[in-house]
Amino acid sequence: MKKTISVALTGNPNVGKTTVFNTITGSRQHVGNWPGVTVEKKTGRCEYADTSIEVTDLPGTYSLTAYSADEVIARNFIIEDNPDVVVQVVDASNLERNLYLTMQLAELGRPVIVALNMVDVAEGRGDTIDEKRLSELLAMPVVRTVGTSGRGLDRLLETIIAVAAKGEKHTHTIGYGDEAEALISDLVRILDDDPALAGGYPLRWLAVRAIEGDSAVLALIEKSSVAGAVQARLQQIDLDEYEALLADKRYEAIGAILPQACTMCVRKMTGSDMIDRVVTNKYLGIPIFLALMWGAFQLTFAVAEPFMAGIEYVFGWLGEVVAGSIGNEWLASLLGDGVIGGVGGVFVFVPNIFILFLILSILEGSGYLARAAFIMDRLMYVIGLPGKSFIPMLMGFGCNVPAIMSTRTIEDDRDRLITILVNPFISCGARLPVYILFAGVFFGRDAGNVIFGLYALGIVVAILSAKLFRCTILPGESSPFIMEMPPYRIPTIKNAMLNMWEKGSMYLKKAGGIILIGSLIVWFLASYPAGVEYGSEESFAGMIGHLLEPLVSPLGLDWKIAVALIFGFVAKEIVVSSLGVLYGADEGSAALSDALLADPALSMAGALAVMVFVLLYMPCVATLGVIKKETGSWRWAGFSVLYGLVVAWILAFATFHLASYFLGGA
Amino acid sequence: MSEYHKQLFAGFLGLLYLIVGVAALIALVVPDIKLFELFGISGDPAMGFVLVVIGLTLISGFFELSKKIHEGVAYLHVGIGLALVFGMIWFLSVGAEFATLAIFEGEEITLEMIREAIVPQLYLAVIALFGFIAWGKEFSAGLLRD
Ligand SMILES: Nc1nc2c(ncn2[C@@H]2O[C@H](COP(=O)(O)OP(=O)(O)OP(=O)(O)O)[C@@H](O)[C@H]2O)c(=O)[nH]1
Ligand SMILES: [Mg+2]
Repeated sequence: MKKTISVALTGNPNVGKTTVFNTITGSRQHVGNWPGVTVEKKTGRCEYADTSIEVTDLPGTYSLTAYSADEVIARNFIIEDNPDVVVQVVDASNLERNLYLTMQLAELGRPVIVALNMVDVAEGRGDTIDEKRLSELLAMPVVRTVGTSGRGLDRLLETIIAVAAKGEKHTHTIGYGDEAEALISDLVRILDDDPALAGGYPLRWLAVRAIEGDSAVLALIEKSSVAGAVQARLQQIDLDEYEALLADKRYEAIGAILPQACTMCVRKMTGSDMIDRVVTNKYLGIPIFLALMWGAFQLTFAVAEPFMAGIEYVFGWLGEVVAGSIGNEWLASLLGDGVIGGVGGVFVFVPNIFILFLILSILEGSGYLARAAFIMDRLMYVIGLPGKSFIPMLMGFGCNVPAIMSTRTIEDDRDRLITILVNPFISCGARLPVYILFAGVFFGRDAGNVIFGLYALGIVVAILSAKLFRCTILPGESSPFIMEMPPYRIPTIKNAMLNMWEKGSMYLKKAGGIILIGSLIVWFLASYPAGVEYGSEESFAGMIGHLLEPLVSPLGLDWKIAVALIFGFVAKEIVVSSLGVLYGADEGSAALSDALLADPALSMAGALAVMVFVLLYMPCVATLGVIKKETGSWRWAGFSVLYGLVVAWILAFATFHLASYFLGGA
Repeated sequence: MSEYHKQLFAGFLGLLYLIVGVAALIALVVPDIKLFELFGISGDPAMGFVLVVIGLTLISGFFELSKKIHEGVAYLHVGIGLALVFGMIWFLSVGAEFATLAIFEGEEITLEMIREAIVPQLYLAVIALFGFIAWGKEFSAGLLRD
């Protein structure tokens, strides 16, 4: 039987852990040039030299003290899951800061390997790092790697296998000075009396963490049989003083190691710093950000046009084929109205979605995303949220699900909860088809401005809601913005394409799966009970719609829209596919456009109201699930549905009446 | 090339962007100005805003460089970068529009349509391109090295 070695990839945020992980295991986890991309642990396998290696990619962490949810995941894995080998991925161009974690890992008594990643950047800059010397000084193997090109990864795997085979624990730790060491050995002796602790944890590490006031470790000790003794010993000293002393000693050790192992060029202002002077400029920062957003928006629409026309053409042709060649009326309606009308209506927007994700990916890969958060920090502060909360908002333009997961990097629980609750108002890619359809039909040349306005409305509602929550149910101070600015990088084409494909293909799968099913259900509801006219008011769909009509008629909408909105809860694209089915538009979305325009029940004001309602009304099922998971309760998930519905209804109502007044009704 | 050339270029291009951007905003309120039409400027709030932003970025570079602040070149480079990005965006948009017309709607692309597509966002980017050719390498090399 082959041996399996378990390996944990840890390290500071944004040092290339996931890049290394992807290359080693052939996975396609999300990579981005900003700290906090990975917020979950992900496991993959690789076979190397007859050994099976199980690699786990972890969220980044600056130290083993865990403040935020993602850091807790990283730390728990290393400490509790006992990986055979810990690989610390280190940014070679930023060694000093990265070695702090190395010092802490050394105390775990586990085999640690340092992967000196991004050596290409360090070398390109003229730094030289003597990894042999560094390895001696740290008493750990050091391997030079370049995650993006795969250089050195074979050596890394070989080293992992060799280290695992030796099975030696790392015992070389830094000394903290006589006084602290005496305290540590006292604590170790006390802790050793509890077999549960002594068996499961490196005691020196526990002792050090207890001195540093690590709440998780203190809680662990609290539950043990030696709690009283530890407490008594800790009460004899000034904890704050010791905590500072330990950190100082670590930096001292780093300061001693670094000059012996590497030479660095004198650092002038770097290119990244120079660009930051401009894009985070007090006056120009926000305008440049807005201009870029508008540009992104322009691209998403304009460039997709020929592709959309192509897809429309294909579906139109399919519709004709179906109508012309299938004799069975029932089957023709199922395929034509149900499948082609429904799925085709959504498929048309695939190009927009792909371009949107490509742009988001470039934004992430370049490092600008972190700057956008920085620029918005001042504005966010006014609302009472940290600038970090802006990143999930931007990610929400793609999809709210990963956006809500990315809030794990926010340390303060209330900040995080607010950020989660307002995220569904950020208009995700799935809502785009609804806007393009309605704005295109009713606003022609002004469609672009209308859609831009909707995005802006989403942001404004999110921001005002955050302020409202801050002032009422979740009061508190916003924590200061601390985020390391990654250096600018030219996004790799491979990465951008991969990100685009991963996210975009999810949309495709949705179109072929849940949207297809939704369309078929709507088709069934529109066709039965047997004998009724298709999509008429006597069908089941008509009955459901009429039941809801009193709710939507103040918004200028009729029963068909009500039915579409109901199904849109599953996934927002279904609003479009349902309408495609209900209007029997089996010749692509051009026909649906005509049908909508011809419907006397719909006006320009009504179209605006639909779009506003779809923008705000409630998170889709997947988003609801992730809200439940991240907040840990259905209560907040339920709250977000109710709150969304109320806000959507009020704003759609206001939109309809204001628009009717200004645009003159129908 | 000397910092002085960069300064002149930043000032010149920045002023052009600013003037044209403001013109696009003016054209919003005052329609049918012949001179504007000649230069392909039409009233467009978003485009006007973008042009003004690029112009201000470049002009900030001009002022910093004239105060002998070396880091002012960053404004020049970011300004050129933005100019190129938006030129590209327009180019792709128009290309896509023409492709749709020609392939799916069977229309012919006339000279008139091409002439109409030549807007400031595009032709000013061509000027910016010269700046990029002159200094782009030096800058991106610096960015990767530092
Ligand atoms: N030049 C260079 N860039 C790299 C290298 N490894 C990773 N990158 C880039 O560094 C950025 C961060 O990479 P990730 O793999 O997402 O980093 P991470 O450590 O997983 O980050 P978090 O999940 O946020 O903690 C990306 O833009 C990568 O393309 C490398 O060896 N050389
Ligand atoms: Mg990662």
